[in-house]
Amino acid sequence: MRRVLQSIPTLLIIMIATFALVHLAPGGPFAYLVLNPHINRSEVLRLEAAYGLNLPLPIQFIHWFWAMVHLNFGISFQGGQQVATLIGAALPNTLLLVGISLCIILLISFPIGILAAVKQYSVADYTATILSFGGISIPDFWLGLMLMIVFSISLNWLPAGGMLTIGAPFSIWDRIRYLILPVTTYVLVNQAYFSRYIRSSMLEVVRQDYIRTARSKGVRERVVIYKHALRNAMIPVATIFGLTILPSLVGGAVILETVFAWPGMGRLYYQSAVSRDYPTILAITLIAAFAVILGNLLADLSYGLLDPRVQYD
Amino acid sequence: MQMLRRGAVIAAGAVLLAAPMGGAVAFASSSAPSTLTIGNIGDADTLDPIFSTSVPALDIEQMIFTPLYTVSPHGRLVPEDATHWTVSSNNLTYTFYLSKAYHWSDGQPVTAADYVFSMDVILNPKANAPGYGTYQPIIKSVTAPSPYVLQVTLKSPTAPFLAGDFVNFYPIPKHILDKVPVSKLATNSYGNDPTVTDGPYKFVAWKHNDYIEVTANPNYGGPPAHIQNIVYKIVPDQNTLVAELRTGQIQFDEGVPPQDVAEVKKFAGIDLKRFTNAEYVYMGFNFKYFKPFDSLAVRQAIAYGINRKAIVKDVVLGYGQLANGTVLPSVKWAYDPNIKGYNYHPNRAAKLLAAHGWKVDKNGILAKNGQELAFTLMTNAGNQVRDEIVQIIQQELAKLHIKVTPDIIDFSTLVTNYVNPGKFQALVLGWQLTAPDPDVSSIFDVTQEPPAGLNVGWYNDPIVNKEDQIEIHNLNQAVRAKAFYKIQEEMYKNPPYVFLYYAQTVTAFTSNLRGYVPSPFLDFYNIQNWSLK
Repeated sequence: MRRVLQSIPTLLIIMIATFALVHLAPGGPFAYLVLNPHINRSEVLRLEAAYGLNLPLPIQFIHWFWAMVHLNFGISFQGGQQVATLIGAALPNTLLLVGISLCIILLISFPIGILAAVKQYSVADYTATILSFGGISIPDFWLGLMLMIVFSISLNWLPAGGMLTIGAPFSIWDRIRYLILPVTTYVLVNQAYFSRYIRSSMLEVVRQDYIRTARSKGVRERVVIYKHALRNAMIPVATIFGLTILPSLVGGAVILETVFAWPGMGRLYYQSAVSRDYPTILAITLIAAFAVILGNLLADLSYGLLDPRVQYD
Repeated sequence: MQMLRRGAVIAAGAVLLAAPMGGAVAFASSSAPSTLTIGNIGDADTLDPIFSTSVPALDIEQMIFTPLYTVSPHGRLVPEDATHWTVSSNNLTYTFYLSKAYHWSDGQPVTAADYVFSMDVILNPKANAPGYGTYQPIIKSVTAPSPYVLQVTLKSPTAPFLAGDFVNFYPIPKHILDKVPVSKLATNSYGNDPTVTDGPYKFVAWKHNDYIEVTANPNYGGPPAHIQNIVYKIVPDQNTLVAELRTGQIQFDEGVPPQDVAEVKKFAGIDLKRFTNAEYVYMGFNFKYFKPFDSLAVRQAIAYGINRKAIVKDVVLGYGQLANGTVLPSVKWAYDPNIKGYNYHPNRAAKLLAAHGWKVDKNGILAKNGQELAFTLMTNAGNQVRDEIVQIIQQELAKLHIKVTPDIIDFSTLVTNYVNPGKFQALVLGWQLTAPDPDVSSIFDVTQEPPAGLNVGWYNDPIVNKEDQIEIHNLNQAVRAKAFYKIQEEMYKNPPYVFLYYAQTVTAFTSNLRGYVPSPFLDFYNIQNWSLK
């Protein structure tokens, strides 16, 4: 409970900082109008006044803060849609793409991480290390484009971009076809972070005395690894998961979503940043911040499950 | 120039996969594909024509709305909802006679009252419509003396009105929207979901950042559209657009980037078309923030020192046409073909500068009376073509001992902090002209200086200022043509810019497509006449 209360001032500080940063960034939301020779400068000043952008920043912040308290994200400067509508359209798409990718990452990074730790310096470990560093080092846009060149352009097996065949009746296979390339790219690039953490955390644990004790009293190796070692190794890993999984789910993947024309949160965020669409930028930043705080909280709570010595008062 | 320019987009489709795409929504009666999927890099802002400002929105509005009149690829005005029009003898009142054939997609007739309503919304400051600043200074009143007669009265005779701002004026349906408070119209659901429209197509769905779908409108007043469905797919990455063209996911691309043209040419079942766009790229001088530009010799030397042919050849790979002024060559009545541009002549540039007393100083830069010829050249980030142009200009002028410091900053910052207030030394940008009227007094007239106006380089030429007034206020085309000739000649003699080139666009599309005529003014001119074999 205290932990929950502690996150309120954190959230408030994040709100003030985000608001200040967004408004301190040079440029403005109506800049794009000015290069149209048919719209003059006074028009832009008039629009800024109409959207309250000429008010002092603290006043603007109070307006925005009050709206946020009522969960009113406001109206986008780009075309007057409700920000909640825009996010409502983009969020499920990102949840689908990143959610599936993260499930696969978790499924494969545990065996890879554990194997690499238990058989340290073996062929399997080196293979996993090379693949991991390869994955971390390859930029996702490049890998995405390479996969596209091979599987879409040359082989013509898979669609290049988009989420589904527009106008076609719903079919699971159609949706899967569109998911294969972006999910593969996401998994290859990001699994390394998880499997490396699991590996190093496991390595630390398997050297502990109690593991040696467990082995020496004749406990089967499987039980030693999965029951005694893994559970302890999970404590630092849980922190990383807490800090990355939720924010990735709501924040999306800016570059992948652009390369694969995936209408998700990352693209919405990027576009609103470029066009200085303040209400949208602020809403997404705040949601992401909230996800970080929540993820952190969940990680803290999970310690109790993983380690009975951790008590919550 | 808008942010979401089509700039470089890809479209069209390989025949193999095009068929299944269309087949998904095919109508059994025809074996021809019934869907055309168009690819574009950007999404629309709103589909309400009174409030939209993006190019993708304009693209969709061409399909789902009917204007009073439109403009042909050669810049002629073509009647649509207005069968004909007259201008009063004092050149103030325009009377448009509307066709009775056009109906909204819910069956209600399109009448002059819809146009009056639409213009009233624009002119109401509470609506915050982007057209307010365009129309408020020139329009006195808009009335409907009878249901099918529309009268627009101007405050003073304004020649660029008819072939300029008012081209492709789309009405919104009064009977649907007149209950909405004016201040709430901008955010009304009509912009997201314009189900009642009067164009050859009607709205089906808009999935933000994904696609917009329209279908042929059975109530359309003109000849019915041949292609049953059009999907406007948003593909934000250029490389992905090319890939989707290859896989047949899209069958029309509004602008293939020059570097991809050769590759796209190899795609089976894809045709390409190349045309000169209504857009020119320039290097602009700022007369207030870099005083040496007051010297004609300096500007001429810079113009002679820049190899424009090399820029067109190497940067846009030949997809450009040298520009010598602001009037588009396609606007034949006003374009003066005899205006010579400043062609590459570095020796002449060096001699000019030497003759006017510029000498190389200890820093290796030309200087006169302690003032060095060293300035900052700005352009917006993210545009590779402009980035390269700035580098070429820097290198070329360095040979003349003129020091150019490139400053490439993000678009929004550039415009708000430097272009709007007219506070820069020189910049490379482009103008996109959306209408055929050659009037550009909003950019070069002395009355248009910042902060209110767009004459951001603070150009002030008495001859241009005088001829501006003549071409704006006189409706006689011969008189206007003479004024434009004088303006073009004067802008050669006293250049506000180094005019670089008119951009050329290459569109790519499935070879099944019939009836497509590229136009510099409208991406989807006459789309109801397009068909798929």
